[in-house]
Amino acid sequence: MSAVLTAYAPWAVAGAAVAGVMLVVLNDRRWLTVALVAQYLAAGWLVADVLGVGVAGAQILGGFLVAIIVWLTRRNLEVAHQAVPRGNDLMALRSFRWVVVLLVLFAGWGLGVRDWMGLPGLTSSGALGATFLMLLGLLQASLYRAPMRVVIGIISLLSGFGIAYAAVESSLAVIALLIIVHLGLALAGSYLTILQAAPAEGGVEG
Amino acid sequence: MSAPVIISLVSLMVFGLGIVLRHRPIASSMVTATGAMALALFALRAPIDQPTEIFGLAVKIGGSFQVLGRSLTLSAGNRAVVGFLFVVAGFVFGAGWAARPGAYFFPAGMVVVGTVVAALMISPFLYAAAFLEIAALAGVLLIAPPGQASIRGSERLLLFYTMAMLAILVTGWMLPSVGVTRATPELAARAIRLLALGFAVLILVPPFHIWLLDAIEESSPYAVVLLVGVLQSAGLFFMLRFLDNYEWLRTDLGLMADIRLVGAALVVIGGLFALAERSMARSVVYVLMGDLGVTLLAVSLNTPVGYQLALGLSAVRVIGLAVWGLGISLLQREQSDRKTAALAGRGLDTPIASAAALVGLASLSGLPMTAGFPARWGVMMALAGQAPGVALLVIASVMAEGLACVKWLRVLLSPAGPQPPRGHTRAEKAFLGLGISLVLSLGLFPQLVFPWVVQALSGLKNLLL
Repeated sequence: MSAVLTAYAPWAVAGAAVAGVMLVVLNDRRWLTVALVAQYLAAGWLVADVLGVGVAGAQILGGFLVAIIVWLTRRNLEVAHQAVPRGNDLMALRSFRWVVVLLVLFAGWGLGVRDWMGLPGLTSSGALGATFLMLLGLLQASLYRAPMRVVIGIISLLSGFGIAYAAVESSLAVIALLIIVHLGLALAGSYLTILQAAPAEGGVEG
Repeated sequence: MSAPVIISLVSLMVFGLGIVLRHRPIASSMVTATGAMALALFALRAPIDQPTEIFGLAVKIGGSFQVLGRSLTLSAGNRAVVGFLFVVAGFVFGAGWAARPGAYFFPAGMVVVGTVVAALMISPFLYAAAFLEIAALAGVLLIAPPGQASIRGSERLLLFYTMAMLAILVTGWMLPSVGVTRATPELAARAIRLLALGFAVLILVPPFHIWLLDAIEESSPYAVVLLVGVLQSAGLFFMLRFLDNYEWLRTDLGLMADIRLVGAALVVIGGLFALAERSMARSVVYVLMGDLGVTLLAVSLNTPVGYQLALGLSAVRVIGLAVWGLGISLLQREQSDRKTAALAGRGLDTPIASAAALVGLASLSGLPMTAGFPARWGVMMALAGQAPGVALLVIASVMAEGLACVKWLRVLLSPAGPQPPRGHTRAEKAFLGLGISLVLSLGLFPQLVFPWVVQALSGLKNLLL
């Protein structure tokens, strides 16, 4: 099983990149949830040969919970989730976001193929996937003002880091802590989103 | 049963009670303050790993608890700091009902303190970074309560603390695994850069302080005070543990020079911006930055006295912050505008709250007769021998921050137009008076704090060599 996953790891890298791009560019609730699930699947695939399929599966399960939290929040507060990009109007243009994302992808490719992290045991596919997710996550966290989008960006950053870190540290304690952090981030994003929407929807009881 | 389990269970129980009582601020305040003080007493006094008798029953409280191959340990090395954090929490929770910082302040505050305590107890200590991230996640509830949420501050807090966690986790792997020493300068430089990023976030080095600027203006200052006080103290102790564990780090003269440079920069930036700011809350952020700069200068002395001064500054900082937070919260209770004009004349109709805000600010600035002065004076004296120019910078920053205090005193006493009468209850006045007395007492009798500092450092044996 592990050998098959390793052999097809480049597909997981492509999946991670596509999912990361969708998370930055798209704004539809369903597609965002799909992209988040795809990102967790790709990240799980890339760490499965190091951590084992079981532990990777637990990470993916945690990811599904995160996706459910995001989906439920967005479904209940659809109005509040029109993501507001930071900065000027240029950022609000989808075409501009595509340009920025493509630039980040090129930068990620350039960095990823050079093994810039220098972590022993990190495969070339792992390095590339991790770099894409970290850069796209940082981009998303800095591009948007809506709390859930910022949190999704942080989650992408953390997912990318998780791929790289798994190569050097396979302790169950760390993995458990990181899964808790993923879930905590999703809950924090959901809470902040509900708060932000509260004035428009009549307030939130304290 | 082990001490970490007892601390976790009691913290959870207090958290649960805080949730149940969240709409009854006085009850919630009393329960969480009592719980935190009981935990402080337990952390400081419980007989760990020694047979003892409780209600006629022979029991032995273990110091360690294993979870997923890692251990949480309460030992001589960390019990003073753990006890200190719970004392701070008890102090802040006890007066919290008066500040009205939001329904979730008490339970969320307990989670933050409990998680930071876990960060101090976890072994290997590098995993503390993940616990500090979880504390920051819980901190979102503190700085974003319904009705006065700092959304931007929360987003930035989450992003920065995540970055810090990642940087410290990677460094934590590099230091023992890759064999980073003085003999591997390239690896050492890489590890130090990552550590610097992590600690820059934890110690509020610009630009990582901007979450605090957002939060302290938009949210309840009292809640922000608890979050920043606890996270800061933990961050400093975490840094000292790094220095204690890695001999090549603390003997790296270049690193100590860099720490001194950053400390001096923070002192200058803090002093200048504190004076220039038009909002008292933002002014306090810069005073705090200057105080953290002095703490870094104390660390850069790289002597046992320097480390003691750094921890001493950290201890009195929390007290100054809490007293300021209580005063400003009561001043701002009925108003949304937090700029200069809104405070005009408040010193005349609410003198005790105004005095508390000013005394807290003066203590953070390190003015004489306040809790913040003795340790700052000690740092200046120690620096005078090694780097007189930097000592002069500290004096200049104290003067600039002192001028900021005078500026806010003038604002508070300036005549304002007709305002609705405002007053505080006797209990609120009593708490304000208690806070002011504490700050002034510690300024006159700093030896009240010093034994704790010595005990807290006793666990970091290498720093005392």
